[in-house]
Amino acid sequence: MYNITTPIGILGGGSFGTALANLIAEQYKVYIYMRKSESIANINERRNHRGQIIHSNITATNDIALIANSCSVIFPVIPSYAFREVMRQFAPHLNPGHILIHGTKGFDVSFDIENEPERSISSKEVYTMSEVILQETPVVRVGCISGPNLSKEIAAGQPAATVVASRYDEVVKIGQQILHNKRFQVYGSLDIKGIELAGILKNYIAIAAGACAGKGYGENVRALLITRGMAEMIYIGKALGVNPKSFLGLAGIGDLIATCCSPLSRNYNVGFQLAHGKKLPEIIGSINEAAEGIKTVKVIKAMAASIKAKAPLVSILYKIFYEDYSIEKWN
Amino acid sequence: MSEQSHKQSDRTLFPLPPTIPDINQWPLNILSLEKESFLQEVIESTKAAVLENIDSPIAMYNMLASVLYQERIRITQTPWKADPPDEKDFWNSVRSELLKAQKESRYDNPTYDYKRDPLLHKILERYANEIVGHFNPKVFKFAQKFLPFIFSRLLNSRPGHFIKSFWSKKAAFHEKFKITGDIEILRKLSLEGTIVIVPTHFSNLDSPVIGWAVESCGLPAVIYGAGLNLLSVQPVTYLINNLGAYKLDRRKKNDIYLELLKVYSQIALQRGTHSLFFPGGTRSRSGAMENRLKLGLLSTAIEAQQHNVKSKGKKIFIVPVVLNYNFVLEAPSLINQHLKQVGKEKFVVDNFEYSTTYKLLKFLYKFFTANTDLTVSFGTPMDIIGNNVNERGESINHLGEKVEIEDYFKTNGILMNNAQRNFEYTKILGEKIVKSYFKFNTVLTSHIVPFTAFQILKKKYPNLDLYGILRLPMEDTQIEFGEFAIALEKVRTKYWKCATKEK
Repeated sequence: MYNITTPIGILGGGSFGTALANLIAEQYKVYIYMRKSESIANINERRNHRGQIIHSNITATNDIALIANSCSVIFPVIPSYAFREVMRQFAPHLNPGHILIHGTKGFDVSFDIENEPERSISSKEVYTMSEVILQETPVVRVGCISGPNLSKEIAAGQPAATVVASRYDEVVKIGQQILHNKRFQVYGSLDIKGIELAGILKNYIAIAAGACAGKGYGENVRALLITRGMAEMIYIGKALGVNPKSFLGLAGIGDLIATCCSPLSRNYNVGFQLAHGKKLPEIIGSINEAAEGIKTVKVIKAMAASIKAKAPLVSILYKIFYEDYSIEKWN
Repeated sequence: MSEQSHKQSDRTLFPLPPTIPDINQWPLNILSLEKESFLQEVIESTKAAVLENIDSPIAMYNMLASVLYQERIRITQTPWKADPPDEKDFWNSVRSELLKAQKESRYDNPTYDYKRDPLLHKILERYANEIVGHFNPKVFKFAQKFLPFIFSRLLNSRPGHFIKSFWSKKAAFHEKFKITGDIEILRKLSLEGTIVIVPTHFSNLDSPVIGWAVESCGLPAVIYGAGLNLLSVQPVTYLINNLGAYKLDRRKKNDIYLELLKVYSQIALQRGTHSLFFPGGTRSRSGAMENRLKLGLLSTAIEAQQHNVKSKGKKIFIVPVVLNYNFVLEAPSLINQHLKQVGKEKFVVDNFEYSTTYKLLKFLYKFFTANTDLTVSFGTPMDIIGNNVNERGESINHLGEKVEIEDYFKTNGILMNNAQRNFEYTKILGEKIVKSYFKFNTVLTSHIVPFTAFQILKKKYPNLDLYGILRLPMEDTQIEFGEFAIALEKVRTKYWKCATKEK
């Protein structure tokens, strides 16, 4: 057991960040970093944020220095598009003594993929969030948390489990110690890249699962999608140089089943609405948090040629998203 | 290749004055004077490390029996001239003591205090005394005078220069053997902290060459591991025994011997002794640069740094060095070993062909050694996690910011030992060292000329693999000079581009 006397930092007040803060607050004091004063007021005054009642151990702040100076373990839970920027802001206040365990299941691309959708990219231009932390901050001990963790179920106090992964066993152990409680089981892994990729890749398969459900297809199709989706994930994962073993655990197949079966998942929801004839920009506008799967489709599509990976699901989703391919034609 | 640093040291006049003029004050000499307490510390620390993996008397018995078994096989199967005369007697005595203990059921008794096992102590003591080096300032001063002469003979075989090179001044010698890199920083850091030199490894000459380069830079002598097999040659034995080298026996692969070696290196570093490791392990057979390093000895630098952070000891600086020879003396046999290993059945040794190739290489060697014969390129010094360090010894991370080395060993703000973490740090350091090798590599004439010629041949015979090309008769390997000159210019231009490009 580690003697953790400092408060725990959470960066980002999305629904998962808030659920995580509440979970940790049962044992530790928590500082949660958010930019909007409205959200800070929700936490500090109204004690209610994103439909969750806020534990009394939680304090929200936009003071970067306060969080960095008072917390030695920090959990960044920020959408991938804003991740690098927030890390840059925190970097001057961090040092190699800090431990960062992120909970973001998305890719970072070295250029603005929104402006250059046609550009083909190599795997060297695509980073996971742990790589972004290593690039932008002085921190070396980095970990990630990934698993079937639908925020609403965690917030409702239902039992669940997750995986903390890092190259460093002390990071894994500290993560386990901080997150573990009676309702929350925490497994450990030293294969951080494998666990990160498992969490990232399952998102677009959830979109496809949502789309099938939206079309009224039943369990046969879902099972087909989950297994073929897993095969595609393994194929891409191998091409990106990870051992697919991690894909067969809680953070891979576990998370895949949860997100492919649940309307609570944002990515599933995106697919579901697509099947009901809504267009992508409209859907993105209607959900107030990032559905990482949309960007993942774009990144894998742009990377497919250079990593020589077959990704039929990605190709179809890309066509549906951006090339007016009718979801009705997809069988 | 770092242009700036190359130019900078071109102006430097070697040899530089020693940073510590009194040889008796050199860390290596101090270590030698404190030999007794040093050895005690090594034995006790190794014991502690070994005991971490042993949790019962029977586990202790199993380990001792396994060591004894391996040592007895070594004695009978690979005896060396350098082995001490009482080697057999010693291991026989270990055997009878172990048998006696077994008869008395010593290790079957769960209350037996196995942590103080006399046999473990006895073996560790023997190993420690076998490994330990001795530093004799007088012998060092003697070697200082004669090493340049020996190098001239070994590296420059131009006929008629024997006497001349013997009498030539040191400055002239330094024109032929170049040292590049930011030596001033290195000199400052050697006073500030403990230096670990990690060079590439191509030749048996590497250790003495580094020794000479270190001395030319005015740095105090470094400690390094020399293969025990070298002790079969008398004059070498004398030098090695008196220049502070510790002796490594590659035949001994048992856990406690390897642990003791690591602890030896670690404690020497903790006591501030500048050291030299070859992280690539054995000499490169193909001549290719190391891209996978052996991390065992390197990890001792990190463990030592962790210890020093706690004890407020000195900071440890890692200095990658690239050695480039125009021609590696033992190249024919090393290349042969590589071809055999990679090519297997394809590699048919043809004595006649070999001798002509050898003659050709020898000719090239003589031809091209008219210029620089050897370069020793010191890379930018790093801390134990691969951050560059400035002249004040401060670590500057990849963002250009100052970081404190102790923060890497803190968890929740407290200094904590963690071997797994340190091993991950070693891997990071290893990657940084390899990067540095590529950055500070020097391309010599003898590299670029045969490389270009070989590429031309490869293009000319696209259907032949390496072994096919090697078997070509002499007349088919002739290249027209005009064609060669154009190709060479192309390769040269490409290298220059690489060199000027920020890497």
